Amino acid sequence: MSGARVIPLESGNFDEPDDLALVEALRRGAPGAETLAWYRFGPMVARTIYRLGGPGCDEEDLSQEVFLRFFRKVGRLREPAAVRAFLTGICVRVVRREVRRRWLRRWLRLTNRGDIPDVAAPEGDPESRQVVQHYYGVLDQLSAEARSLFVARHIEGLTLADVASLHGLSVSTAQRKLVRARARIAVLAKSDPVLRAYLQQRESS
Amino acid sequence: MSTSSGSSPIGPANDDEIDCLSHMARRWTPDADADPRAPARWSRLLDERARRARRARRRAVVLTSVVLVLAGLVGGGVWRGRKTDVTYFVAGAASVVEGGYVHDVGAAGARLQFSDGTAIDLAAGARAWLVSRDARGARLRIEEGRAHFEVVHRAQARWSVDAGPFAIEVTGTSFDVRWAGAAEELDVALARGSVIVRGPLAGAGIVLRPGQRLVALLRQQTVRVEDPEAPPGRIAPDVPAARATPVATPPPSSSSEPRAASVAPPRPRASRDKPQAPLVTAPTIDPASWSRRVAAGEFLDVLAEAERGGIDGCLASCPVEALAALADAARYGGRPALARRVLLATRDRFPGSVPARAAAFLLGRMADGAAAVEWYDRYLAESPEGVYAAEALGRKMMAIERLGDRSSARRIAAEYRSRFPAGAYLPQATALLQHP
Repeated sequence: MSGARVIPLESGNFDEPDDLALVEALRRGAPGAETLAWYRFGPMVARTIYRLGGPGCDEEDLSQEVFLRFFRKVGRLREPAAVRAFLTGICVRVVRREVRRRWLRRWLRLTNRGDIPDVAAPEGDPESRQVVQHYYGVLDQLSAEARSLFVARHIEGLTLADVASLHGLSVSTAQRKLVRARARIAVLAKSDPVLRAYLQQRESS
Repeated sequence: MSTSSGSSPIGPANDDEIDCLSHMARRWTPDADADPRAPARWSRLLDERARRARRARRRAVVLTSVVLVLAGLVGGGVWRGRKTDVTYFVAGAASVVEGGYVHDVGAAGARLQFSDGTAIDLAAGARAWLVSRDARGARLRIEEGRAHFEVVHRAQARWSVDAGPFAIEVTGTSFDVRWAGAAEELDVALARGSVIVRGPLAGAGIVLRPGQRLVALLRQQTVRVEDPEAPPGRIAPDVPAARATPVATPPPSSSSEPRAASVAPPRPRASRDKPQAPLVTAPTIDPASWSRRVAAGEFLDVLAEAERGGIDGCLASCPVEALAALADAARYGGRPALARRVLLATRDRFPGSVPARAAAFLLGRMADGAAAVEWYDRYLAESPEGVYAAEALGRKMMAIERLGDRSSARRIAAEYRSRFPAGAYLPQATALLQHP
């Protein structure tokens, strides 16, 4: 067997080395470190992509882009303990770029009626599935930045400070934009027949 | 932002309503049929990186002079010529000795994950030694127990497995190997791809086709190849090794006879006395096509094709990928009874495989009450860190709460909150803990 180093051999425990040691191994270019990072963070990245991108996104494609950027930029990570936040930030930027492209593609296809494009439906009971699908359709009508801010804050559940930091905004600016996005969603949600019916049904029950 | 307290059909939605919709979106966990850690995905990621690197190099070359273009091409050739060994790490409960000897594999099994995307899952109690590695693959020796292989197909890949006195040569493929040292028994089950088994009873080597299983019993001096296309219950008896001249894939003799254990000498097709009877019993099964077509939403077509070919036959002989795709097609196509049958067959035929473990979770989703809880428990026991672990635990929590056992549900809620602090069922877990 050649002398290439292997991670982590001693314990055989998948949770080792911890995130800090793994980042150090990535920075050193240790053999196997990238594979282990992908294996460890893959589910987290996939989940974040799904939530940010919604039912129509190509999760594998976007996850691939996230990891390629991550491997390229991990050397610049100042605080290794923040590796997961670092990855989340990359997810946000990658999905935001994808949303912009989606916007452009939709505009080029000129869907005058403003129909929600056909997207893969999420799992779950049919009603929930339809509601989530339409909700993301409403979110897609926001600008890429507003959509990203809103999803990160209200669906991904990040703190306002984290959301602002990920988007390169001050907290007050992020807050202001979020308030505007929320107000717009409030109007759009009620103009969507599926969401309106769902909310009415919910209120009556 | 709306601050009104009541909803109106024409007014904007209020904060509660937006929170409700956001909460619903947050709870939505896609049914990740594609495992985010599937070896093939890692392989595709590496391919993409290599493709981008090549593209970047091409751009650089265009912007430089002709001399630099030539130098770049030469340099690129040299760079490509340099190859590094595949690397790996060991995941799961196992002890690893320097030199690549893996033993003391716990109940949850252990995985050897290689940098080219290949993965080897060792079952509980297995012992294996990674004898050597190079740029093209590795050689693994199974000292004892069962292992599942998912070898990523690459040009010039070279993987091999030793089990007792046997050697298994591999290209891109998926298969299980079990070696029982004390009983001197070898069991190889091939899901897809191809392998050649060489050893004391195999002569020049036995080529296995997808779905075939080879069982070699050294003490009885017999070797048996079970063929999935043989009619159910008509597996041929063991063939004494003294009479066997093992070589190429056992050819079908006729549609009415079992095609098993036919360890016959190889005969080139052209030299046969008369053409072989066409196989008419089994439909054409293309697992790659089914998976792709289900992903493309053509699940009704896949269902129709499977029914034309015979569901029973497929359940008995289809490779594991085809079963997984068929189960998905049945679920998406509103055929829960069929989905259940396929999932149960997957667990029955491929115990310990990733699709079989995932089947436990999916069966839980399709069941109610205590039955659902039982399946979730089984999934969590088999795949404590599996891709569905968070959802299985969350769903189990909710099912138990619905069964009225609130104290158990709260206990699970505490575990859920601890294990999956960002999980989709966190709001429900928190609510359970806050409102006993």
